[in-house]
Amino acid sequence: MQNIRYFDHAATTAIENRVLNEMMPYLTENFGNASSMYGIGKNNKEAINLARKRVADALKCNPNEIYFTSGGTESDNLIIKGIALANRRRGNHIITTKIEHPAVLNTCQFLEKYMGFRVTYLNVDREGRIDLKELERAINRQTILISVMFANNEIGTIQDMESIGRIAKRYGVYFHTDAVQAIGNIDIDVKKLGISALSMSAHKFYGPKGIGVAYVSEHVMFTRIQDGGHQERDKRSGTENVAGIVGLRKSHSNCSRRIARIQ
Amino acid sequence: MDFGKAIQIAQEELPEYNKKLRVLRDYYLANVEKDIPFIRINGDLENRLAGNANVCFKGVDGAKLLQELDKVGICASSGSACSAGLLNPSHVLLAIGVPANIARSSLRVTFGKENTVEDVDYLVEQLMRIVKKLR
Repeated sequence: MQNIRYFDHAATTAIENRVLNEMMPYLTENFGNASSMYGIGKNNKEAINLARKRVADALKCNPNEIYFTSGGTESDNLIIKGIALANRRRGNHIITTKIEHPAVLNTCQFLEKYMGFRVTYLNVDREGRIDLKELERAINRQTILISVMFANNEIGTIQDMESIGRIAKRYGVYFHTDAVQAIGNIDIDVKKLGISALSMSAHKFYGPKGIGVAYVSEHVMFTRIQDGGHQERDKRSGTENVAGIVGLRKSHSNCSRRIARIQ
Repeated sequence: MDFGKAIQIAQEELPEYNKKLRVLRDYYLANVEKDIPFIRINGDLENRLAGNANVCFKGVDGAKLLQELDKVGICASSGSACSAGLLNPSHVLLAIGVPANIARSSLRVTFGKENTVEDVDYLVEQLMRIVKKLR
């Protein structure tokens, strides 16, 4: 077999050995259901809550604002649909951009088609950045959510998150960002940037596939979109992916250190 | 392995990750610009992820370009979805004002921690050959 030279890290990355090693016990002997009442279950609940705390520390938020999901796409769906459905009485208008990932674009189109929402898709300039004045003009009394990706998956453009966060705060509108590409490359302080909700996944920064995080500020009203056994404080039902969660925590801590060295 | 140990290892083994990606990215772009005519570099070079380079090779079919790169062991992306072997122009490139026919010639290269300068040399060398062949 010929040597593979891999230049597609925005698509996915290979899992790091240290991350895999950390996960292995949870794929083998520590197989307990984290919701069970006996030792091998309860220990896994503890592992999940430790991971929740580490991820919260990295994003500078509280552990009760972290929800584990299956990845970036699910986090985008949970946050955008969850906020839209819980805030319908306040308004039916969402603002996003023309360059979002399909997980955001198609979710917005679903809300337009089936739920009666109106969505504004902001233009970008030649460099891929939105015009903050256009964003401000697009906000009206019905606007409940602004969703702008942190860094673009195709051209890598990083948006002016701090200014968008300031505008969202001034108008009392929730601010979500799809940070799937940014995580692992940029140190993100959600409180400082005024971000009310954020999507991320692990497999873009040498972690496992099938695990992600939705950060949702405790000040945000949102509803679950998947019904079941009440896991993740009833916002995301389904038996916890313990190995994935531990792997996400491990890969995230690795890259946080990587970034800390640079800044 | 405790958390403190993991931090220590990460610091020792993976210093200056972003800086490395930026060096590879800039090296790649400089060489592509020097060696291949009729290209267009897409997006902001300052407010940009360090490891991302998106270039259009005018007159080249992006899907064919990926197939040819695959034959010589190079994994890259057009940055946009393929349907039925036909490359749709990327909605992102259209949004930043790239004409549809040029957008179809895009190649997204995203670097990571295992890439080396020699990898980039190989990539550019193969691109020179393939782009010439497909034009």
